[in-house]
Amino acid sequence: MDAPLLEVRGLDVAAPDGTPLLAGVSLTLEAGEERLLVGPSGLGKSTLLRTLAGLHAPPGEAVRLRGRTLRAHGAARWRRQLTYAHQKPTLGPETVLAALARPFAYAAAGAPFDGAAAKAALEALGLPGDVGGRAASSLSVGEQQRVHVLRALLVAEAVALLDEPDASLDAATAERLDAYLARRRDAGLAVLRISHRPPAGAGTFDLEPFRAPGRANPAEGAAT
Amino acid sequence: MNAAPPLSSLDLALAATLVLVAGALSLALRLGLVRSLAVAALRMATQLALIGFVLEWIFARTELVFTALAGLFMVGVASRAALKRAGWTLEGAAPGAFGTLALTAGSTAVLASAVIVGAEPWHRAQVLIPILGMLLGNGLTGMSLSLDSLLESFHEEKDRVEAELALGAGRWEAARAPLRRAIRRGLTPIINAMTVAGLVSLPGMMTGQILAGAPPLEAVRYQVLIFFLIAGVTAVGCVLLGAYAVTRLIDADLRIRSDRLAARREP
Repeated sequence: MDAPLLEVRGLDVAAPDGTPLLAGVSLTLEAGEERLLVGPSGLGKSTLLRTLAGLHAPPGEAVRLRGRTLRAHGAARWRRQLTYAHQKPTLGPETVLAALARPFAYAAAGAPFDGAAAKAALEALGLPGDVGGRAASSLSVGEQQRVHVLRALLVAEAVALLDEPDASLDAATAERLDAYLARRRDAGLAVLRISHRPPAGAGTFDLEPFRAPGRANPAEGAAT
Repeated sequence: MNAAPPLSSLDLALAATLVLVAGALSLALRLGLVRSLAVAALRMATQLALIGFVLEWIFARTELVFTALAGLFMVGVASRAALKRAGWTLEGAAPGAFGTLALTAGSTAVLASAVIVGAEPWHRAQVLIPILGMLLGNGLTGMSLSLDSLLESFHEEKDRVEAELALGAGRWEAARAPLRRAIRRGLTPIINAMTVAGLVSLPGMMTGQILAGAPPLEAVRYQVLIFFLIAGVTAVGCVLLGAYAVTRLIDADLRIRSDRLAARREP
């Protein structure tokens, strides 16, 4: 049982229309690690995270969690362990606490919803004390983003895949998020994130754009 | 029987002058509808005349196979119409629409004909075909509205549904809100129709039966029966077609298949 927590080996990523974006992506992530995906915008970083979560093209044999494929885990159980947070929050009119609790009613949920832990986390992220009872969609953009990211973090049992979790946050709030993530990492959570603000102490994965075989110029290759 | 006297060709010609009045109004007000009005009136008369001949022929047969073929043809046309009315196309929806209508309207028409009306034989075309036609015509209205709502939700709120999937939702957990909304939308017309039945309009079938000489209370009984059947067919049909569409929209690996969904171009 020495398989890495998350192992990606030779994964190809293509846009929905079939245009190749990334070729042969390989990376490993161990418990408690945080890594940053680096590369120019439009490269396919979000598509890579969505592929890892099994929301895009099926990752097949190239991605393994604790040595087993998505098919072996089952898609829903896979995502309880490897949980992706979209860049844009999609919260409805339900209360913040109801929004955080809902995924724990799903059949694939492992542990029951811990309301006290959720309230403590809301506070740690700098949200006002009464936010749990307010309608999620009535919050400011920055508040919604924190609730949205926190929901994925509460669900994630092994790896959190965060797509620019600090895009709408000011510097001070982004630091609160980093501090909360650091505590979760101490408890064993691994984090793979896309961010414009490299958090202190996180390693990076530099992604290379796809190059068509036998072509020197990647722009030329992408056009075919 | 105090049936209304049969209509002569002269009577129909007299009624046709009313269409001419509509045409004259269109000309006077420059509505530009003369052509489409004429085409629509001619189509209506031709289609109904043709179907009159077909029905005369089928009603004269007692073999099940003719009734079954006519029923399958009707289900085919109705399922095409149901899909065409939705603003979105879903790849692979045709078998679902056909199956849903055949199962719900077909089985309900057979049940009504054989058990409730007690036709002899149970597949008597004169009973089965008109009931099937009414169930299909009304059922497809609700089902196409329902499908339209579901497909629009999956287009407009793809990120929301995908966010649920990303949190480990199963297919039905992720599609719950859009599916509920779709079923509600599909049931609205029949609920409205039942609410105002008799107050705002006399249903067409009841009017026809009364004109044909049936006592009003007997016509009412048939109309109530038809409303119940339509409500049942629409409800079960919306659920079945919605569930089928969700299995096309979220595949076995729990991924949203937007590639199967496309907007219908406005003609």
